[in-house]
Amino acid sequence: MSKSNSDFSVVGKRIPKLDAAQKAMGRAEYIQDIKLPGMLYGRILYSKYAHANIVKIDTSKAVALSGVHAVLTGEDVPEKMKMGFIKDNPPIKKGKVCSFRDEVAAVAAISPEIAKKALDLIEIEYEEQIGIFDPEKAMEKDSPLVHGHLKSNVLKMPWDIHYGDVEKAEKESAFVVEDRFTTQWVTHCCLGTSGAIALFDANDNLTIHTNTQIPSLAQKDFLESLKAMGLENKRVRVIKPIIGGGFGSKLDTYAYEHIAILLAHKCRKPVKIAFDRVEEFKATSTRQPTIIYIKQGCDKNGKLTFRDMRMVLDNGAHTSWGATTPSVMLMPISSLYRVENVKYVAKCVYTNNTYSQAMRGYGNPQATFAIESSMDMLAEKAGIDRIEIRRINRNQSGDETPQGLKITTCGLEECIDAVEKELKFDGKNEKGVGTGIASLIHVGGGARIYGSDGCGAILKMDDYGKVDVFTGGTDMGQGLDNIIAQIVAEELGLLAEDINVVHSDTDICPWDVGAHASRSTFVAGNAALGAAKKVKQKIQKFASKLFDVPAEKIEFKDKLVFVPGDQEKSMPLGKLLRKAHFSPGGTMLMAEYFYDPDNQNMGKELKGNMSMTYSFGAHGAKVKVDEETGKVEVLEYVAAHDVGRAINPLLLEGQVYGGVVMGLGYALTEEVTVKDGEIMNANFRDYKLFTAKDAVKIKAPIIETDDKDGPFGAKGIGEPGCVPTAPAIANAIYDAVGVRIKDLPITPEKVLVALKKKND
Amino acid sequence: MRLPRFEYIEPINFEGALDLLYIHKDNAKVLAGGTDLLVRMKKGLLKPKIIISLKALKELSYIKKDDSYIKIGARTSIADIIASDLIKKEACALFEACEKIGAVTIQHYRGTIGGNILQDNRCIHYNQSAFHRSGRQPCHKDGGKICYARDASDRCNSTCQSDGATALMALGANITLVRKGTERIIDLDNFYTTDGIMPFAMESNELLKEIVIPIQGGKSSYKRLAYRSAIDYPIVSAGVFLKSSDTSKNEIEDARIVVGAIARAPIFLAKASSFLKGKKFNDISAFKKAADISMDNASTFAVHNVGSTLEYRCAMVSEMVFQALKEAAIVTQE
Ligand SMILES: Cc1cc2nc3c(=O)[nH]c(=O)nc-3n(C[C@H](O)[C@H](O)[C@H](O)COP(=O)(O)OP(=O)(O)OC[C@H]3O[C@@H](n4cnc5c(N)ncnc54)[C@H](O)[C@@H]3O)c2cc1C
Ligand code: SF4
Repeated sequence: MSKSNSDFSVVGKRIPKLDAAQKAMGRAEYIQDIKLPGMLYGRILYSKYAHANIVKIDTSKAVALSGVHAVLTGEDVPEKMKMGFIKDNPPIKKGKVCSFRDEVAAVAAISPEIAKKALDLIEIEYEEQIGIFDPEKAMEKDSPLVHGHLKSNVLKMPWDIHYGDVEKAEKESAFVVEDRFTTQWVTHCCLGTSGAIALFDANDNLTIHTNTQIPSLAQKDFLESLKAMGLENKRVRVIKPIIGGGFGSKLDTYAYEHIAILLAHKCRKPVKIAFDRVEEFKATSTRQPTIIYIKQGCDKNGKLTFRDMRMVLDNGAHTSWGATTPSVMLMPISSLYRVENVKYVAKCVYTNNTYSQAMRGYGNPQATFAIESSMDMLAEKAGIDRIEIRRINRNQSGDETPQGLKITTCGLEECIDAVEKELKFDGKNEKGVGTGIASLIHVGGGARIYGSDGCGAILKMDDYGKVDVFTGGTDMGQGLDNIIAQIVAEELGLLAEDINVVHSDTDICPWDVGAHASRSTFVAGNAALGAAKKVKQKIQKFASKLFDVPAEKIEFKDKLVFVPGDQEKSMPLGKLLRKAHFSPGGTMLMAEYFYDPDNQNMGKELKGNMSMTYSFGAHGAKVKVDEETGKVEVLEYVAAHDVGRAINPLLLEGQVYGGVVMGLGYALTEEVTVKDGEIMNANFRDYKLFTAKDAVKIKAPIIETDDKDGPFGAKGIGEPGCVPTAPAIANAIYDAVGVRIKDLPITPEKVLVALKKKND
Repeated sequence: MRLPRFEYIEPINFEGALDLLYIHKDNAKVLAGGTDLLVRMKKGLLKPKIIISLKALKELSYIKKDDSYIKIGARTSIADIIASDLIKKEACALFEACEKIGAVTIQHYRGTIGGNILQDNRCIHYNQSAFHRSGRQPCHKDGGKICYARDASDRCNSTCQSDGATALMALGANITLVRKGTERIIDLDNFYTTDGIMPFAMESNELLKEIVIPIQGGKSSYKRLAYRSAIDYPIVSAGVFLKSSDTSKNEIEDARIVVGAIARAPIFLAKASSFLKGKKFNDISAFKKAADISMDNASTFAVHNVGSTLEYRCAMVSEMVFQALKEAAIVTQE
């Protein structure tokens, strides 16, 4: 029988973030706050062209400037030092630049001012080349090439998938809709800007303090860089300062980290590179922009028959995880609602634009925008109510989707119900007001992107009944520390504040593949729970001798270890631990656990159950469209999610609110505007991130389905908040004024143009 | 981005400030709240050797009624204006404009009304980081010979995005400029030049002392369009003033329509304004017509350089004027 929240004493409780006071008081140490003895300041010089040959670089004046310790150009970068998963991106470019963010030189100096001055003294002669900025044009046969040594701008990627028989299903469909959608560049806007400090010890072992979501994989990248530098068999220690937001931006290593390493090695001193906001906008990656062609159909009863999608992804000039977002897009494409016949082709194309990275939802928001907009169009064509068509096709517990996803628990129907309860979908709103709904599926039980989806935990009891948990997981503000503390506290009968979670240092913490794919609560949570269970058994074993009862009779609650019903046999946990330490032949209470979920890598067939469980949700929006200005105002927003179990409803709601506001920006205002490859709005005045004043009231109903594999039943919920926001808004706008906007963001001018067209 | 080096001087009285300006002229810049000036300095758009701060000049911070005039000291904070009942009652357009400026943090105690109407013109190609600008030839406003906003333009077409300026011009305000030894009063209509590089007729040794709004017994309104609810400059705005005739309450005797954020300066639209004279306050179609005339007249000056599309911003001139007229008419009727 599944447990209810009243069965728990710590899990399910609204415990404020344990580090809140520290952060609110300005005591948390971010990378900007860290200063090491003898530290130098590095700075990077970027290209002045989107596409150009570097004819000549003269660094002599910079080298001669007093206070400058090192100046690097592409010539100083070892040939094999490259970034990105297809290793097409050296940290400093040599001979040629392919985008405005291409690094052309770097300096280290005794102060940031001198470093800046030195950059100004570097003279570069460029020979401008024709740039290519439109991915569809870049695919054409006679298009200029971004990388001359390649035959085509199209990357070799495996995204050509066909489940079932789409052609046949299309012929047999009663209704078919088809359209083109586009999504824009947006960026993470982490409040804490990027930065790293690299230093070498006397034996050439590297320590790097850096903002990363992937300490263990970053360690691997840095080791490869050391190897390329001729430093074999060295150690790399990755230390994470407190991170001011990740959202996927820190899922790859960046040029500035590798440049800091090169500079530190050359100068034999710690070198810090810290971005300002302009650099953060220009030199970190965006969400993957897409051009999406979608066709889907249903039978006369509204049952989906097929879905056929084709996408063009602007890869930018270099390749990072943005190019792999189709792997996650495939999930909603193949599995949001029951649909047997699915086709998906995605092409990534090199251009002279900025390159993209992982960003919250990892492709899912783009795909879901097209799918859920198209669902409404299909419902209209088939004459079926838009809630009804979603109910008819909803996923259900026990389903296996064409991609091979095994849906263990599914609360999608309850989520749809929850949205319907809050908003009116009868089309009877006042003039200019409308409602929209959109659903989501996302991985909720890890995601096997790499060979491993594992995470380690080490748990150490002290002498007083407090616990240190060393986790591979990463807290970057989302509150993983709290979740782990609550899970461990629940298992050991302690309070959350009795648990100290350490996640900051690869010398201390176990391995993990990273904080991505909404996996941390599920995977790092299960790892911590596994370690807690192990230590619990050890304590039970020790207490069983002490109390002279079988181990399984011993329980933990309110910091006591006791045998229920026997008042004599009870002892504070601290006292028991001291007994363990101080008795002859004493024992140390410590445990480790490695949790690697039993999910599958998709492999060559691009099929497989990539996650142990899936999170579902439905979002509903009520908007008001000003038909004179085209401005859209969001009046109400409901975001219902099946989260398995809310380990901490307070943090969960925070996660949902944050996701929704991010999604609303995606839907309505946010766009990195790019003119011939150059970013034109590298600041928060011109990049229209929602402000506190724009934020709307959000209701976040929580549906608990108690997943059998999740820690205390929990599923991951880090990303879903921003997944179906844009289509919910687009659908609401259509309901309100009858225009469908297919290109994000839905700016007032687009709405107005569409209204004009409709009324003409 | 860091501020360039400068010498900071904080005169203790008005005369002291005038003396300093007299001595340093072009080498000095006046600092009120700094929310416009410091941002430009950080971007390296200007590098004054000397900053003369008005911080200690509390005497320049006031809102008072003097006969049939409202007088506002140049250093009065935006927040004080928003809080003033006098302004809300007699110069509602200014209240509405100030409410929209930046965000609470800017209105609070930093941003002043003087700084607001003296803020520099803006352009997406110009208000960029030094690095961004370093990659290309400088434009007119940056000391060069080209314009990125309008092809082959022989001059700068930067946009005045001051909310306060548009509202005050609609209210028929004038300002008092002082330099050592002399003082002059100039109507806002004549103060704004149509030069994107030097948008106002002001000498480097002059200090803005006071803004004077005549109380004419009419009603005013201000409407603006921006993407966000805060921290967003207008992409188009309109300030209007309507006054009924003494003999017939339902008849418009005087009208002033000014549109902002569309051209090098707020534009007083004489034709559209005079069209409304003699029209009735409930004549919605006359408002619509005036709004359309406004759009036609203003569009010729419009430049695509502060975001959005030009077509959209021009279309919205009409809408903002229309909304402002309707609102002013309704309050007049009440
Ligand atoms: C994020 C952000 C958003 C903003 N949004 C808006 C907006 O929506 N609408 C808007 O209108 N403005 C906006 N602004 C611009 C600015 O903040 C306001 O206009 C503010 O009122 C300027 O006042 P200040 O006192 O800070 O000006 P300052 O920066 O101190 O001065 C501006 C200019 O006026 C000169 N000056 C100031 N006072 C005097 C004086 N008494 N005599 C002579 N010269 C003087 C200065 O030398 C300088 O050149 C925004 C600014 C920021 C940073
Ligand atoms: S309008 Fe032209 S000259 Fe003026 S700032 Fe913009 S680009 Fe420069």
